[in-house]
Amino acid sequence: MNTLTHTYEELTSGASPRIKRLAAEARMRGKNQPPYTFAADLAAAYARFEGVPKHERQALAFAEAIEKMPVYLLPDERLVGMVYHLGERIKAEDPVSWHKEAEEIAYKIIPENAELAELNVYTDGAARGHITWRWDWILKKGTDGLLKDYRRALENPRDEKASQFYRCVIYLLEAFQRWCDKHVDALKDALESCEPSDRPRLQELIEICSRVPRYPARNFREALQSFWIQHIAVIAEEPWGGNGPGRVDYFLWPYLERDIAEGVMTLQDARELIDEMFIRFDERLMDADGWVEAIVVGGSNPNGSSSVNPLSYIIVESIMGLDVLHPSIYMRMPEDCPDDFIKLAAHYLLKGRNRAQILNDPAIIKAMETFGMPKEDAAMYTCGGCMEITPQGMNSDLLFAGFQNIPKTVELVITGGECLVTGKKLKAVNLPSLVAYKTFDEFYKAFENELARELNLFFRRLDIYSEMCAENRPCYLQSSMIADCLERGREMHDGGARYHDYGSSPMGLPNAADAIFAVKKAVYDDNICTAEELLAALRANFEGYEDLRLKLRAIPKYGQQNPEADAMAARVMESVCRIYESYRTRWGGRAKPVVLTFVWAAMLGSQLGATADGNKAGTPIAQSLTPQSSSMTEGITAAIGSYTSMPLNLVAGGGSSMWDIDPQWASPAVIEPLLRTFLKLGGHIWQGNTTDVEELIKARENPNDYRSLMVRVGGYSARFVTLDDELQREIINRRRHAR
Amino acid sequence: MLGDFEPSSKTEGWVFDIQRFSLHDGPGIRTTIFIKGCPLQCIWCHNPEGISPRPQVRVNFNICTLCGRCADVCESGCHIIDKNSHLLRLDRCMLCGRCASVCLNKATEIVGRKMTAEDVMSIVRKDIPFYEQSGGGVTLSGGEPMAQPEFALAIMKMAHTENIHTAIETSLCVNWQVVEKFIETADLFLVDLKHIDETLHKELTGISNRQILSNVRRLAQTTKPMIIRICLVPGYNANSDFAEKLVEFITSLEQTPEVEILLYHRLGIPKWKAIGEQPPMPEDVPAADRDDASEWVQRLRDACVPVRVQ
Repeated sequence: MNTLTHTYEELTSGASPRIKRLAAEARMRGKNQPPYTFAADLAAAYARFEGVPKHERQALAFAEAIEKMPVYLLPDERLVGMVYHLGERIKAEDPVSWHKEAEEIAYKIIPENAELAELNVYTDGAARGHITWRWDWILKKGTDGLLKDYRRALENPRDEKASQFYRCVIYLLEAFQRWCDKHVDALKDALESCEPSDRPRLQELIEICSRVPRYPARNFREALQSFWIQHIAVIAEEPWGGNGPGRVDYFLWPYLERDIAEGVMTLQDARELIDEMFIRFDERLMDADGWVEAIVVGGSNPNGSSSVNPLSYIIVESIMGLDVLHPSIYMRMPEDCPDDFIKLAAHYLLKGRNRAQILNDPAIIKAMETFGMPKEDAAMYTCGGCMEITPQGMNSDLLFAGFQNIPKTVELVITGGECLVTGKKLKAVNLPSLVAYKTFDEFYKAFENELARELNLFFRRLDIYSEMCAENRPCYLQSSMIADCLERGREMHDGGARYHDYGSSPMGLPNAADAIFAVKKAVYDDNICTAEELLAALRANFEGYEDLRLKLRAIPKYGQQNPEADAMAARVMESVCRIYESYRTRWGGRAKPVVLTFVWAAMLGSQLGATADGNKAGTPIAQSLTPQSSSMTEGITAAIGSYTSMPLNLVAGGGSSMWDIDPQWASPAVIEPLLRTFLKLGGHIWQGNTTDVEELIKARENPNDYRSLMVRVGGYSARFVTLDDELQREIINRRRHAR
Repeated sequence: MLGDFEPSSKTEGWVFDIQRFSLHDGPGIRTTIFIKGCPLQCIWCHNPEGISPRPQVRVNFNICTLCGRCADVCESGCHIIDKNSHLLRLDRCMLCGRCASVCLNKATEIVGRKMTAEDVMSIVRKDIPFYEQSGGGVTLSGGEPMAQPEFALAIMKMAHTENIHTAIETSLCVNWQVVEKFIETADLFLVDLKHIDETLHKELTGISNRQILSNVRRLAQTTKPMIIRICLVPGYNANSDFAEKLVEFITSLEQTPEVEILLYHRLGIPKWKAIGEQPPMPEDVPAADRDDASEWVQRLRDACVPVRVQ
């Protein structure tokens, strides 16, 4: 239990002059990053180690590339270490080619996948990343301590594979430490030629960097330095989107708490250091708008009590005061949430430049527990990037490995396997059209069967990928900080991770539900049209069928708190989740739905023909589990009511929602009760834009005047003027809840 | 009328709108029930579809696609459609409802439906979690809720019994015996005052304000929270004379209510046209702004009356 009482007044309200100066300098450097040599160094090392068994070869090559990373010392810094490898011009590259090979093998083994990808039922390939890891082990034990563990394990490995795994981790940890040591050398060199006034700063850094990360951190400065230097090294080894720090306040607070009790640090100074670290994040990731490294503050302890601490507040206030794109800061609200933490969340939503995302611990932890995860693990959840709910340092990294266009499956079941956009026909199975189904239940069963067929193929593909990952692209530095790789003697994809759960996103659930409900009412219940008529209308994109289209639009929709429509949405959601739930991954893990839409709303909409709920072809799909914009006719309270009546406990990967708000009425006094009610009703995740639509429209006309305007795309925030035309329009057209 | 006064969940009344997530009709997040029918005829009324207690045709010209279906089915010639416009002649409307039933995008509707108090409450209950977190509740408005006293009271009683905060927005233009019946179940009175001067009041609303002012006085003698709302209309009542008289009146009350100044907006104008009528006030009357209210605010503050401009 935290002993320090936080008060707002103890924190500075804005960044200090020194921080503002550092930020400006960082921005300049960030926009002119030196070339990234990691990939080339890796390739060269890999070539030189020819003849060495594959996994050792990879480990040695990565180790050499990490050790060879340049050492950067930046002026006036109190935090050491920089890796420049992301940015507008330099895209993150996986230095090892494995993806293409994995795809080819997957297609060979499961040829039906190719067809489904072509029909836009779901995405091809699989993305890695979206996890967090237990860097606190390095803070606690030091690299020396972690190496001791691995060397001890090497003395008594359970088999040859484990022995090899331990050796590979040791190569990486030793190389990482040697790279860290180079920073001490560089600092000592700098000390010899520096200004006298700069000596104390450099001496302090030498002391800190001589201590960490080799040895356990003893105070907040050391803990922060240890965290930072390992973070940038691990991301260098695993440069995939969504990999992030996770619970920074949770792990760092004990060090800061002690420092404050001993009188060696103040909250103010801690804030200055956090500011500097966030500027460092942003310099490193400059202009990479779609990139997310997520820090999740607040939340619960493993026993369920609140773990909100003063550092949780400092982190949010820091990001609100800085004009940076990275890192992403999200807030977890525990069951017994301190009042002013919720107030802070309301302020963050309104004044946080559309970067905020608020997570509901009791609801999300309940979903994870329903999934079978013990409470203590569930309490350690973080966002792997956008929102992919995963316990810190316990899962392998196929956490957002693609997504499905659920309304597309509905379309195929209605048309008999015919894509309304391309005319292509499904060949793997013979789907009859809607005309063949005498009852709604027959139609619904057909939908469930086809969806199950598709999803199972999708998950099987992920298993193949996972095997390829273990075989061809292991992650040793990261695996050393993932439970339970050490105990099991296995890399994270090779059975080492405690949870081998896959995450992927079933998108467009509200659209699918509305279309299915419309079919039920129009064709089977109320005789609004026959199946033939509906088919003809959809094929014609409603040209010449405007009357029917309006009647279909008049059928109740999810989001209006209409009990029947909402019940159908719940039913569709349950069908999807049950199919996910029934799959077992190659190491006995589960497939979990991560419900989001975000940047793909327009793209997936463009893959759809006209839909039975009365939308014309190409209409952007709904944002995650938020009702369709056009459906939210009864206002925000009804829409929240509909959303929270969904079986959210079935969504262990998180069920996101998006509430874009007209700032004219939005004050903390209104946002706070809305948020509190949302949390009470069991909503999972709240985010949304609070920028005036007028401003967005102006930004389209004069992008140069709005270069730093940020918007919530969904899961991440980005500079509005960098988004493509379609996405800009989708954000402008989202329903702005008004009063 | 007052004899068999037995409001119950089955009591019926005419409602022309129910608005969830109301932020300006009392504290917190509220659901506002707009009850149809009003004895006043305020020339700046921005809910003109609330004046008549009977259902009526209303057309949203923004949504209307000029398809002409309504004209085709109307036997009284109420809808005159050509390729550019949709004109209304509702003086001959028989209220058969056919035009509304054939309009596919709900541009033409019958505004005003009969509901029981239970019907209303089943909608009100949906937002209870929001009321609880925001100090909100249900507000009766309209029209004039006290013009359908049994129905209004039925709703108030049910909400009150269910621990939902109740507010009633009224002009208090009815007998005190009616007003009195609401005292037990109303947590807050929002009283709309159009003018203090009797002659001007008659000109602007069609009726005298003597009973209204007397009711306000009597209400102020109870302990009921009351907020007096004044709609400031440039050129009509936004002047020093009214301001002075208002301060005089308010400071003479036994209990000092809060005052809320509402700035006249022009959103009511299309609503008159939507029900086939001409707005009674000239259309070029400008919207009020905060400057118009500054003198009022000053005078009220000087008199120690809590005042807020919405």
